[in-house]
Order: sequence, then structure tokens, then C-alpha cells
Amino acid sequence: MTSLAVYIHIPFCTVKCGYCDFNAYAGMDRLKAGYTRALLLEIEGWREAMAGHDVTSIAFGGGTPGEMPAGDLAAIIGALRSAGTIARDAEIGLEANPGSIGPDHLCQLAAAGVNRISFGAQSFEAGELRFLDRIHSPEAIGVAVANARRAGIASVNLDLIYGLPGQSPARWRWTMVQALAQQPDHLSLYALTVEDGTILARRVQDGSVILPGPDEVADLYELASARLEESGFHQYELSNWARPGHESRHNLTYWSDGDYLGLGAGAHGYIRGERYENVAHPREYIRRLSAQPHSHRAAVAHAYRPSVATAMADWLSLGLRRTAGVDPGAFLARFGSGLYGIFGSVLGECAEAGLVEMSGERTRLTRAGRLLHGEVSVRLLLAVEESGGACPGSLSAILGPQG
Amino acid sequence: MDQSHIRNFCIIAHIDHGKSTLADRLLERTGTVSRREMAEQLLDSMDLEREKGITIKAAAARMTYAASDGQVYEYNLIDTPGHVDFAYEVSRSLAACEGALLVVDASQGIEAQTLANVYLAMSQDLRLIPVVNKIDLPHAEPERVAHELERVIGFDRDEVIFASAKEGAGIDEILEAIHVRIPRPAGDPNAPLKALIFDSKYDAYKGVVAHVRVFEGAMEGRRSLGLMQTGSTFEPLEYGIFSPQMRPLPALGCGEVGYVATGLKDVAECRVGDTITLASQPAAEPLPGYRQAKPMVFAGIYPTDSDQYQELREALSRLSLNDASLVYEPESSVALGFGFRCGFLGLLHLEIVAERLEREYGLRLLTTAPSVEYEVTTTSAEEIVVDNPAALPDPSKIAEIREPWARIDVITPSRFIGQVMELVTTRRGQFVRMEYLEAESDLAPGEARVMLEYDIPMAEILVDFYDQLKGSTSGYASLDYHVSEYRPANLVKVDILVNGIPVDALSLITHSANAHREGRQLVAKLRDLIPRQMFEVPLQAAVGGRIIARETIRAMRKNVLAKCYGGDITRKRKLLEKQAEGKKRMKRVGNVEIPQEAFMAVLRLRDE
Ligand SMILES: Nc1nc2c(ncn2[C@@H]2O[C@H](COP(=O)(O)OP(=O)(O)OP(=O)(O)O)[C@@H](O)[C@H]2O)c(=O)[nH]1
Ligand code: SF4
Ligand SMILES: [Mg+2]
Repeated sequence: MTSLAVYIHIPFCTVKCGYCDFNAYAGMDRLKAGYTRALLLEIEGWREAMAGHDVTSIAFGGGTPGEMPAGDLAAIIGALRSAGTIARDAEIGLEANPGSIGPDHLCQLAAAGVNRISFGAQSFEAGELRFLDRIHSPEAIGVAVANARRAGIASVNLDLIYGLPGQSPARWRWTMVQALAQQPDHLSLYALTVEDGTILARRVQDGSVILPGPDEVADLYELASARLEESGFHQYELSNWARPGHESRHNLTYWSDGDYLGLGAGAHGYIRGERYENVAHPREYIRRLSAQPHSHRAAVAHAYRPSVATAMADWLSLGLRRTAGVDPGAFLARFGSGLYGIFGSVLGECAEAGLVEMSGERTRLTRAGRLLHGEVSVRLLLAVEESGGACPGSLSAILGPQG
Repeated sequence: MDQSHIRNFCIIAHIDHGKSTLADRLLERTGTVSRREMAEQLLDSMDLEREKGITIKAAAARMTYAASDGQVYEYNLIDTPGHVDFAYEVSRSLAACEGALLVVDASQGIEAQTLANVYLAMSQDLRLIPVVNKIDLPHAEPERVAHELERVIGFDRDEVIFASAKEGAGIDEILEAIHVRIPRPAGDPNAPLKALIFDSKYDAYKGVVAHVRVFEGAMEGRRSLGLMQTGSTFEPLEYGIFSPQMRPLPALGCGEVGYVATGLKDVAECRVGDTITLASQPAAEPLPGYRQAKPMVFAGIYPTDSDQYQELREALSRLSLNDASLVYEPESSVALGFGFRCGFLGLLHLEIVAERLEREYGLRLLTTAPSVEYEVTTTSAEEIVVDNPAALPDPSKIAEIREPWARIDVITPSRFIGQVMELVTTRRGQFVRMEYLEAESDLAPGEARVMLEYDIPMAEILVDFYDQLKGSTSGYASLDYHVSEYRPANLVKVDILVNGIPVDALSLITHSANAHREGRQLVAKLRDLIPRQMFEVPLQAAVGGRIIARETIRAMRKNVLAKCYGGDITRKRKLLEKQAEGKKRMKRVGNVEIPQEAFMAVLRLRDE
């Protein structure tokens, strides 16, 4: 049985944060019931395709899935259970806002099978939370974590954002200390990124927000990295640290070229070599599913098969996000050609600059290379483009609708 | 049409005085272009011309004009560019004409290129019709400008026509003046064919299309034609005129302007300035043709991707057909590989050529910093010409270096004389003479316009001189220049080392007194322009092997995309692809990626 991860997108939020360009909408809560019905239809549509797969993880992302009625989430999990085989030890995770999830809700989720919760803590500094438009207070984070523990949720993650305007190393250390004091099992640290079209982008543009430079942000990353290691966390991906045994299996699927379904508005899936994306707007998503219920392609907006060259670059670039790196043998098994035959010279160049190490069984980024994953990946893309110049779609993946 | 009813003229003026707009009105009033097809500056058909709002290429158009004397005339108009960098277009166009409309902006008066163009036209014995344009402007001073035309150029007061190309005033008067004042084309229609190629372009189907003026005989039928300088012959595919699009006609008669499609694929066989004649019955003597334009500025043009070298060669040869002032020859650079050293009439010309090559031929190019042409006498008494700093011999082998000097004319209201003097002297310029274009007594103090003449090293006016001149005269001054002579100078070459490797394309030649300062400024600029690499990159400036300045580009520390959100790999890849595109535009020298702007850094030293 091949394993399969399932991602479910919940596109609703109480407030749209100024830095956020996720597929998330505020003020559309009245669509929630219809949305859940549409998700159930979409799952039904996948029933056949799911047969023969072992679902190893289910992840609710958003938006703010923690604000969905627990009954809806339980129904969705139930539908997945009836549509396919869910591994007994499957990871069932959910993103939640610490300010908007109460103890009862958490208990109901645990009862529905949720065993991993990821709180969008972001910062333990009230001013920073305000800057990020977050609706919770620093104190709410501790309360939420305690409630999750009490509900019996086995794995608790905190998301934190660094590289905020004026964020000194001392202030970031404060957030780290506070976060560690909650004794989470997992931490995800993300550098604040200015995404086109966001309110934050506008404020940076007009000069009302000044973000720290790349070197300062790199310092913050290294500071956190050292701190986490001292505290018994193990870094397994560029932005992710876990206590032993608490690595997120769902995320590992993305980085290990595994298959995953994407369900819901704007969700992305990757199955049997094809990448697809659902329509983004929840209303359109609901409309499509009610027009064409039971079709797993009802909501697909784009789908394409990456060329071999692109697939190779993706494979390597994603794999290098893991601190364990990649196994050249697995590349050979997957593509039928040698990793070094195609990427040898780029990897060599990066190794010379101290960003990559190619030792024994594995090729991975060095500590210094972790912050330069983008630089390495760009070179990988250019390298496949040169070597497999004939492979179209590498630099212009043409996303033709196939739904 | 019979020669007595043909008139050939161009429109000449200082930049922006309204030539192309006037051409619009003539085309419109004669019904050549319908109101519906009309667009502002219709003859500026190139994308670049429209974007920049200036004329780059001369453009011809034929009109039929029913005159008030009851006769119908054929008017062949050539609209010319006003910018000094395209003066060669003007001089070639003049040779196809008997007369010219001299347009002067009623709010600006005579400016430097007004005079330069007048001298050009006079040297070719053209009849000039002075037109004071833009009289609709609130601050127009038509009378004052008419007076200036009288005084400075020697027109009669009643020759001057007042017009507004924008609003259509004076257009009828101009149309009448053309057939009355401009002479009919001379030439014997029965003599052997002599047609001057004054411009050309390449067409994928028709081969070289030559723009011609028939001086003797006529062009018709399928009879083979020959080129008198290159000796090539061809079967004409098509004759025609510009109206203003190419329109085929069975023949071009004596005195007419039009085109002939030669079918020639080798652009070298059909050059601007050559004379077309009948292969079977050639004329005895070719027409005088043109002096090749003398380039002032030189720069290397290299493909960013060395695979495009052959395409670049082809593109240059095709473009040089349409841009007769462009000269080029192959060169190679240790840092950049194979490319071409090109000569230009000025920086705008350089910019336009690079843009056209990229747009019209789909190339990705890198242009090195422009340089003037130096003369060097070596210690072994050899004379060499150096148009590329990288090629300057070792100082120990140089007996003398001479640099080009220009004679410049600056026209400005007299109240700015002080500022102009100061600017010119800080750039090693020397005052030659001054002449008032207007009587001071008639005007408010400081108002009268004066022409200042200086000698100044070409290298000093190459870069931002014109901008500074404009800046220090509130935009009033205009400038014309031509190379006058070479003078000895104490010059040295500053070499730049990137990561320990000398990058020849970054070298600059400068006055020895400035070498330290400019070397320091250049490495500081490069530090800002070259992106951080995966490793630390030292930058050094050296004169004759001695390091005079150094800077370090620190290694890049962070370039990582945030979370792989909900498995959206496609979007992540697209972000990386965008970065990859940026990298492709850079040139790899050793293992350092250098962007185009870095090669131009030397132009921006004065910004400091
Ligand atoms: N008010 C006014 N503006 C005019 C008139 N004629 C031209 N212009 C404006 O002057 C500007 C320059 O006009 P062009 O016709 O492009 O000038 P040009 O002489 O062809 O310019 P180059 O070919 O670049 O030398 C444009 O903005 C025109 O609209 C006029 O009679 N009155
Ligand atoms: S809560 Fe999360 S998904 Fe919702 S707007 Fe804020 S950042 Fe975006
Ligand atoms: Mg014009």
C-alpha cells in the first residue's frame, strides 16, 4: 500500500492579517456549513482514487481551521475514514488560533481523532502581535497550550514569526524563552516575508514599515537555532524543530516527494506525478462541487504534470529542505539517472562555497547552507534547464486546465 | 510625375521643436492619411520612438498636393530626428532633397541643433523655409524668434511662416511655400539611371530594401540593376513609395523618392550612400554618396549567453543597414568572451542600439562602459588607436597618449554665462569665443541669448555633461558638439580585480590626477552594484599593478523561501524561477555573477 497525505484547507479567518497572502477570507463565516458539505462531496469523489492508499496524515490548514465547528471537522475526518484506510498511527493535525479555541472545543477535536495541534502563536510580545494583526494576547498562548494538553492532544506545535520591524535579538530571545516555557513538542519558525499585494507590502513600499535586513534576520535565525538545540530540539527541516518523535509526518511528505491530496478551496495536491490546484474562492468551490458532486476534479482550477527536468529539480530542492538531505540512490531509483550526473557540478560549486556537503550516503545542506536554500535551488533549476534544455515547462510550467 | 511638379524636402529642427507634429499636419491636410488613421507623431513608428517621444529614424512620406495655382504637386517629405546623436540621419536625408522646412519653437528660439542643421543644409545648397512653430503656446514669442532668424541666419522677415503644428495654424501657407520656394528636382530623365541610397532596412522576404532618391533616369520594369560601389547586381523585386506605409508602384521617375526591394540577402552588398544604376547601361560616375559617420563613443556589446554570439553578429549586420552610423568590429574580452566593439555618435545612440538589438532581435546583451577613442604613440614609435580601455598598452610602452577634444556650442540666455563657464572649466574646458544672437538693448537684462564656444575633452562631456548643463541653466541651454582635434594628455588606466581576477571590461582610462579618487569610487560603486555571492568577494582597483583601492562584498547570508504552504510547490518554484531569470541576465566572470549595471558603474562616479 502506498502512503498518502491529505491536506484540507479551511479558508476562513476572523480577521485578515496584514502580512497574510494565504487563501483566507474574513467575514465569510456564513459559508462554513455549505463549505463542509462541499468538502464531504469532494472526499466522496476521491473515494475510488484513495483505494489502495494508506492515509498516514491528515492536516487541516487555513485560514483558521480551529474556528470550524468541531462537529464539522469530526464529520470530515469520519468521511475520510470511510473513504479510505487511515493508518492507525496517522497524524491528524490542525492549525488553530490560540485566542479563539476553548477547552471544550479542544476536547471534542481530540475525541474526533486530532492528535496534533499547531498554534499560530507568532510572538509573545503584545506589540508585535498587534503589528501582525493577530487577535490573541501573549497570555492566551499559554492557556491554549495547557488546554490542549488537558484535552490529551499528543503533539503541540507553536508557530513563531521572526524578522519583525525593530525586533532586536533580545526581544526575539524573549519570545523564544516564552515559547520554550510552554514546553511545546514542535516549533516552526518563519521569517516574516513581504508578499505582493498584502497590506504589509504597501506599508513597506510607502516606508511606514521598515523591515530588518537579511543579515539581521540571519542572526535571529542562528540565535534561535542554537537556543533550540540547547533545549533538546532537533532541527529536521529549514524552519522546523521537534522533540524526538514529534516531527510532523505530514510536512515530511511534502519534502520527500510523497503523494498528497489537497481538498478544499485553493488546496494543492500532488498525486501520481500530477500537481493540481483547486479554485481559490470558497463560494466558487462550493458552487463547483454542488454542480458536479462526486467528481474529484470538480474543483480543480489548474493541473499539470511537471516535466522530468522540473520534477528532478523539485525533488532535490524540496529534499534539501530536510536536514537529513537526500539519498542519491533514491534519486536514481526515482528518475533512472544519477543525481551527480545532472547536478554534480552545481552541487560541487555549492560545496566549495561551503553550502552543501556530499558525504557518504547523503547530500545535504550544511549549517551555513540552510539559510541559502533559495540560492542553491535557483542554481539547481538553472542546471536542469541547461542539461535537459529540451524539457519544456521547466521555466514556464504551463498550467493548462484539465478539469 | 513630371519633374516640374515634384518637390523633395525634409523637416529639420532642434529636438522637440515639433517636426514630427508638423509632418502629421501636412499628411493630414493633403489627405495622405485620413483623420481616422491619424496618430500623434505618426511617422515615429518605432516602439522606442513612441516610448521616448523622440524621433530616432528619418522617415519618408509621399503626399499629393492640389495647390492654389490649380496644379497638382507630388511632395516627398522626410521627417528627421532632432537629437544630436542622430545627426547622420539628417545629413543623409538632406542629400535626397532640394529644400527643407526649418522649424523653430516660438517659445525657445534658435538652439544649438537649429544652427547645426542649418549649416548642414546650407552646405548642401538646400533652400530653407523658416517656420516658427508652437505659436499657440502662452509664452510663445513669435516676433522675437522671427527677429532672431533674421539676425542669426539671415532670413528676410517676410519669409518666416508662423505656425502651430498642434492646432493647424499656418499649414496652408507652408504647403504653398513648398512648391513656390523649393526648386524642382534637376536631372535628366533620359540619362542612365542614378539613384542614391539614403537609407535602407532588411526585410525577411524582400531582402535589403533601399530607400532611394532618383537623380537621373528612372527605375522601372524588371531590368537588372547594379550598385556602383560594391559592383553587385540584382533583379528588383518591387518599386514603391512611402505613404507613409510602403506602397508598391510600377516605377520611380526622375527626381522622385521611394524604395526598391533588391532581394539581396547579404547586407554588405547594398550600403547606404551607394548609387544604383542600370546593370546593362551603367552611369559613368556614381553620385557623391556620404562620408561615413564618425563615431564618438565606443563600447563593447556582448551576448550575456555566449551561445548568442552568431545571432548578435547577424543582428548587428542587419541593424547597421537601418542605422548607417553604427560601426562595429569583433573583439574579445578575457572576462566577457566574444563580442563586438561598436562605435556610436553618442550615448543616446548607444542606448538605442542596445535596446533595438534586444527588442528587434530577441537578444540578451551586456554593454560595457563607453569610452572615447585615444591615440597612442608607443615607445617603439608605433601609432595605435585605442577605443577600449582594456587595450591600452602597458604604461612602460607608452610614449604619449592623445585624447579627442570637442568644439562645443552652447546657446543660453546671457544670465547663465557664469554657470556655464564654471561647469566647462571644472571639466578641463577652454573658452573660445562668445557671440550674442540678439541685441541686448532690446531685452530685459540677462535675457538676450548668446552662443558660447569652448574646447573640451570629449571624455568630459560624454556622460552627464548635458544633464548638468541643463541643470545649471534651468533647462535653457542647448548644446552641439563635434570632435575637433587630439591633444596629448596625462592618462592612466585603472584596472579592476574581482575576486582577484582582473576584469578587463571594467577598466577605465582617466587623468592620472583623478586615478586614485575614481578607482576608489568605482570599487565602492561596484560593491553596491554586484549582488552578494555565496562567498566573500574582494574588489580591487589597480594602476600599473599597484592596488590603489579595495572593498569587500560580504558573502550572502540569507536567501530562503518561507514555509511550503499547504504543499504549494508550484508557487515556490515560480519564485525561484524569477530569481533564475535574474541570474541569467548576469554575466559570470570567474565564479562571480556580475550584473549589467556594474559595467556601467564608471558612468556614475560623479553621482557621489
Ligand atoms: N503647443 C504646441 N505643442 C507642439 C506643437 N508642435 C509640437 N508640439 C509638441 O512638442 C512636442 C515635440 O513634438 P515633436 O513633433 O515630437 O517634435 P520633434 O521635433 O519631431 O522632436 P524630435 O523628432 O525628437 O527631435 C510634442 O509634445 C508635441 O505635442 C505646437 O505647435 N504647439
Ligand atoms: S490567521 Fe493565519 S490564515 Fe488567517 S489571515 Fe491571519 S495569517 Fe492569514
Ligand atoms: Mg520627431
